[in-house]
Amino acid sequence: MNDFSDIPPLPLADWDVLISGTGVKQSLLAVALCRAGKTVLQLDKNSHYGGSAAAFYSLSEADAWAARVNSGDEVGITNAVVVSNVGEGVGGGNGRGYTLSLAPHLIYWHSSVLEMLRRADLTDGFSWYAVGSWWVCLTDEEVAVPAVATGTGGVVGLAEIGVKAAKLASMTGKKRAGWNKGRKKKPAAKTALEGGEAAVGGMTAQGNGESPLRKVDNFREVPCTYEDVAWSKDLTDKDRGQLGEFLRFVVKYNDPTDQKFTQIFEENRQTSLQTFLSTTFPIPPFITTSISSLTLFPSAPSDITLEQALPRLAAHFTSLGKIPDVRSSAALTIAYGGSAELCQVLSRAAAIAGGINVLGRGVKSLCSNETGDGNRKLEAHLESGETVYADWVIGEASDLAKEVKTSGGKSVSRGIYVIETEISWLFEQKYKDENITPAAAVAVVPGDDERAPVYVIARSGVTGECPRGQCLFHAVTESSYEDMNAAIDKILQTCSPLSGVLYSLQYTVAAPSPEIGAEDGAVILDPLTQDIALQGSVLEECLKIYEEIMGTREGFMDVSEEVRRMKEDMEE
Amino acid sequence: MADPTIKLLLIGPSSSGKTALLLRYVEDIFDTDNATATIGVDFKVKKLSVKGKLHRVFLFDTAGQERFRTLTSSYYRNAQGEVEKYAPPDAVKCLVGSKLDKSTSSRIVRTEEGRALADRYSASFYEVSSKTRENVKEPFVDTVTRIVETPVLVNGGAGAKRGTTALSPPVVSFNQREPPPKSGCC
Repeated sequence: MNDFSDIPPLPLADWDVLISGTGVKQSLLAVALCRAGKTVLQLDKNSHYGGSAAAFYSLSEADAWAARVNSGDEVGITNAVVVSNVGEGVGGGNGRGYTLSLAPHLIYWHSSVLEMLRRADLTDGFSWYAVGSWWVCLTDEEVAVPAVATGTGGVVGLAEIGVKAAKLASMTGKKRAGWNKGRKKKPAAKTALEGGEAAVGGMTAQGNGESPLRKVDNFREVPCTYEDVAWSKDLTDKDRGQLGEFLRFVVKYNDPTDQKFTQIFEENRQTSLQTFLSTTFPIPPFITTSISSLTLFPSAPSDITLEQALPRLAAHFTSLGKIPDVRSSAALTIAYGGSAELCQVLSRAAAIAGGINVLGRGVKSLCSNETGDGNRKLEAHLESGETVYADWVIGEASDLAKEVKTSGGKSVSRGIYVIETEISWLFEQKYKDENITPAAAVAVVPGDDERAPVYVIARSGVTGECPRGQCLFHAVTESSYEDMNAAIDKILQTCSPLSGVLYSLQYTVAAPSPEIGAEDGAVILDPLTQDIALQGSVLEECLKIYEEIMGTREGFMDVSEEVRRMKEDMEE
Repeated sequence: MADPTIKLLLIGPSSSGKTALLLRYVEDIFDTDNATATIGVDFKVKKLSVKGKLHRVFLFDTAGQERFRTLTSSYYRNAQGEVEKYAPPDAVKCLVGSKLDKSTSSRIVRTEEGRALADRYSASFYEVSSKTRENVKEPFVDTVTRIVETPVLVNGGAGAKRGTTALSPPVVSFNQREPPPKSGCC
């Protein structure tokens, strides 16, 4: 697969646009520009798709990548540590049957990225799975369950929004949206609770009637639905009222018709989430920890400003209850590697729209085309010895032979762990009347004064990324590898002490470099951030570049009229 | 949406006539002037009646990605993919030798060689000409029939819902009759 010696030369030297790299942004732009009628050549110096959002399709591929990291060949990534407890027999020795993704992104239902994919007619190219609950590790002392728990007083403030949410949920339940068209009604992950591990954890459903807030030892489900808030026994009625009011604030903070909330927001933009939640809407610290986990920032609540937190929380709460057949879920993820799969499907979409992708051919140098052929503005020399001319060249600095600048920001530690059991409690359906079983979940081990929290994105075998009966943990933190390992141990120890880690790959990603924008006529992309959810800023950056090239944002990713007609004909 | 659907992939070297066969089969077009590498859409749909039951066959073309060996692994997956995610060992395969209309002397693969290759991979074997229409329908009809006769593919083993997709995309591979580009099969 890495032998490109007999690959033919490029069909043309002359292009409207040369894109170097096959990451998320590069691939989005390739599709958009091809569909807009530009001639596009998309290259990648690697022999695989995805760049920093790539996936490895066997453990030995992951090992090889780790070796490249440690010899300094992967820009911005350092200190790869592999620990393998895989016996000889597993997967024929090279560990096939795994998809270890560097970008297992969650995608919120209410996100500009998903909206764009829908409009671009691209959602059918993926297997979408629901992301289940968020779980936070909190001890009984931290929660300090109050003596008087149930009552009705505090629920009153919630009644209105709760009812609204329930209505919305039942409405959307009726029309089946594109993402899960034709799926089996109950995906096979629903084998839970049969193995020995469930007995060890001992799941207890708290609360009342139809909406239990789940707890497995110290891992507590974050009260995220309105039903949760209304019924959790961890909350006093006073807390319930405050939390309800805060959630109302979250969905209205930038609604100009709500002067009270917009004013509170303006006054507290730079206030930390922790301070804000202990003063303006005073709720107990453990709930602050839970709320903070929904932002997916790998920082302590005291380091997250309200301005940063609110758009994230709003994305969560406006998505909640909207996904057909799984109202307790707010986000989706793409099977077979998250954004790694996204890059591949987009590259194919670009090819379908007339683009050419070539792997294993990087840009060696780039200059303006003053003496060369034709009237193209830029001249790129490739590692293969070929020369290409283009009006536009787009890529990350590291893919365009440009200097990569670093910033002094915090680096992020990441880890991919193959767990030898399926940890089924993480992927249980929350409500009996839901038709979709989650294939991913978020578990958070909060930090303390010295340590940042550790986020663990768990992905089940249903995603196709590991054999059934196992699961994958993707850890993200600003803390150390030791803290990351400790967090993984905590999840395994508490819930499934017999489970071991079969394989782990840890690595460190440098803080993103400062924005460059353009250099010598080339468009320089910001490296993809290490965010756990795919951010709208990714799309925004692409739109900006598209506008620069096409003169308008209109028509971004639009399917041509001719193709749309062809598709309609086939639907009949 | 009630008709069962089947996903067929066309794979093979560049310029072996995959798109030509696809367009001849689905739309009965043979366009020598406009030999583009792509068909502009992800797949074409053909309705096919097998044993009295109508099936919707989704025919996926490579979009020219085989040219630089950049076909994505996602191409091989079931579009509405359920679960069987590993290499499809039970996919139904059919080997097709194209450009049957060319004279025997210009062929580099003889019929017996093609048949022997197909046998080795438990594939059926056809020689076709998109230009003259000869044998164009047979490989598709045969492949779909064999899929329909393999319940694990049609029902998705675990019981696929809504009459949807076979789990493993059956594969139609191409064989080369003409002096090919240097590479062999993808």
